[in-house]
Amino acid sequence: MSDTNLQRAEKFINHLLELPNIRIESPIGAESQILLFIKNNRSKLEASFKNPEFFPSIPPDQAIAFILQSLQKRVLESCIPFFTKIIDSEIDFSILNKVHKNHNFNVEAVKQSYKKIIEDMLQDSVCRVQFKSIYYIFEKRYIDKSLALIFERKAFTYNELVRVQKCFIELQDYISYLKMLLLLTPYPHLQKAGNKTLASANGKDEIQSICKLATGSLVKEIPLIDITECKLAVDSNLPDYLLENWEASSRFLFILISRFADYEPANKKEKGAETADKSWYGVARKVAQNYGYNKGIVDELYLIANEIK
Amino acid sequence: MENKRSSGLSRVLNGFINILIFVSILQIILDDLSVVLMWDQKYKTYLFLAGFAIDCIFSIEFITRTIISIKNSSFANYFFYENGWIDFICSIPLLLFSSGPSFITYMTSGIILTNIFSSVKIMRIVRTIRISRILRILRVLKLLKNLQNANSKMLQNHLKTIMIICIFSIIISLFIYSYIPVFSVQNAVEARTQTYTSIFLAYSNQLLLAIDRKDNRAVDELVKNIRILCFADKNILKLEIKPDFINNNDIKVQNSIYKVKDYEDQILRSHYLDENISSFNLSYSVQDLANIQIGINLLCLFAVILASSAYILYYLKIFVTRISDVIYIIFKGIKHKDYYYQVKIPEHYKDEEIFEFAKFYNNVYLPAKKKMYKGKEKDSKITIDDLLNMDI
Repeated sequence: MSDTNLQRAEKFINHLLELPNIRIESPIGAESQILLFIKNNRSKLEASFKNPEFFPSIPPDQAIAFILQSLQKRVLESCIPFFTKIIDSEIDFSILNKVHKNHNFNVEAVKQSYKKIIEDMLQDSVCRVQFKSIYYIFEKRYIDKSLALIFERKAFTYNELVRVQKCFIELQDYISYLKMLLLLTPYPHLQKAGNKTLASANGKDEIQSICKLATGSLVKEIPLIDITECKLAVDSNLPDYLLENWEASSRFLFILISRFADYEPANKKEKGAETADKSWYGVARKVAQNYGYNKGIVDELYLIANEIK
Repeated sequence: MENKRSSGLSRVLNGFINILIFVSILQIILDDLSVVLMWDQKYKTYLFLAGFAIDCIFSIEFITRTIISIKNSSFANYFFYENGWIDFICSIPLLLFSSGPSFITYMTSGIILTNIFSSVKIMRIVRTIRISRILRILRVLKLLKNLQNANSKMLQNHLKTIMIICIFSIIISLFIYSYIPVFSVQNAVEARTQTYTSIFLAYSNQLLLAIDRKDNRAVDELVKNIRILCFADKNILKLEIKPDFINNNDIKVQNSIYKVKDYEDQILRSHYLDENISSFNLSYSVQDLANIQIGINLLCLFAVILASSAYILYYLKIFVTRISDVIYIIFKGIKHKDYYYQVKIPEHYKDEEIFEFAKFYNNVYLPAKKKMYKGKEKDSKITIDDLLNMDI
């Protein structure tokens, strides 16, 4: 009987995933939409699930559990291969040897530990939601495109990333470096300081303590990489005013993650309007202080937004 | 089912009327060109009959729409706000005063009237306002909805107003032009008649004197001179000496002095005049004067078409990018919680009031909205209705 209900749950999820609005979303974006839908319509759904065409033989709570189980399975089936492919083919982990010249990193071992930690993070439902932005950033090759322009312009952001952070590496290496950091950015969402998670933390002290804890934990989790990278990745969840001056990569990634948290794949170019990218940065410039974006980086991204294609 | 069928029929009829609008404009141009370029009589007849048929169809359409709107108690709305007055101007007056009487004349005598030289003033007025048929083009503006953002109601109304002003300015100018005596074609026709009357009266008197003197040589010389004059004047089509005048004298004079071959087939009957001037029967052409009038009409018609095309192709784009799109984006940004597109502000026009407004929307409203919704959940893209008809 349970088997039949699980199959029904799978069909239910298939139906939702095939809806035109949802089909175009990333797997994690689609999951977020379905979870939001279930949350907002729980009472109506529970009533409907009692009908013979849904789950008449089990309590609605159990039906929802089946649905969530099926949904998670579907999302993981799509996401884990996606990120594994990114680790295998898009990131050159050997750049760690260029960043830290006195170290000798075992690239293959770093890759394997990356795959494991990503899988662990994706298994966690709260952490998985954070991968929505990361998925889109990789899918759109946004770091490749934006960094190419930033390195070409050699203006504020370049100066921050290279000179202020003292990371004197070539463009392609920097792209790999930022991608490496980006994959680890959801890690603090796995951490708890008391009852608090990063999402529920109040005030800068709680946030900072969770991130500090997460950095320490990440260093233990991937001892093969340097603490600098662990800190930069974890601190990409922090607003500009909580970052140390040298953490330019975190500032940059914080903005990209925020940008793609609002990304809507269905949004087309509107006649008479700026592009979605330009509009986002246009608004972000004005609310930079409230949202913790670095004004200089947002301003530069605003200027190059239409060239990032 | 009944409703579906009637809306399908209505779509077909509207499509037919829209095509007919373009056909009618083409018919006006070809009708005028056929006169100027002296096309074969049969083509002129086809075009004339097509014009009459088009006027009939538009009149029937106007009457039908009027009856329906009266039944729905919305005649005032139809007439004043839904182009009813344009439908009226383009149908009933033209049928009653232009193509209708011409059709009756054609059926009874086989003559196609063009009204250019009509002595009846109203006919000449109608001839002038034939150009107002171009107003029908306003009715097909809604066809432009696939072009740019032309489905904007505001755009269609503004464009219509501008085109009405443009078309009426040209029509009124043409109307005034036709009634300024210096430019009046009718006056030119009268002047031509007077000239020929004077010339041929003089010739007639000379001929009478020569005949009285029984001076055969003088008569021959005079006829020869008259023939040379006829050859020199392209407007003289036929000149005969009246048979009764010849019979009353002993001197032999050829009855037909001059005749252009087959001129009856080439020139519309209303574009040549017959005059009895003493001993002569004279037929002369006023085609050149008709051409001037037709040329002016065509010029106005092309001016209207050109202006309409320019408004549709150029001004429409300006209006869309600088007014209606801006309003559309701002309205969407105000209406929808998750809509954050900024208005694109062209550098050269940034000081225009609407872009000042757009700057305020971009730089003040959207950031304020963003701050207001900070940390708040977005709406789900799935609704409970998406589960309807779901079979698992």
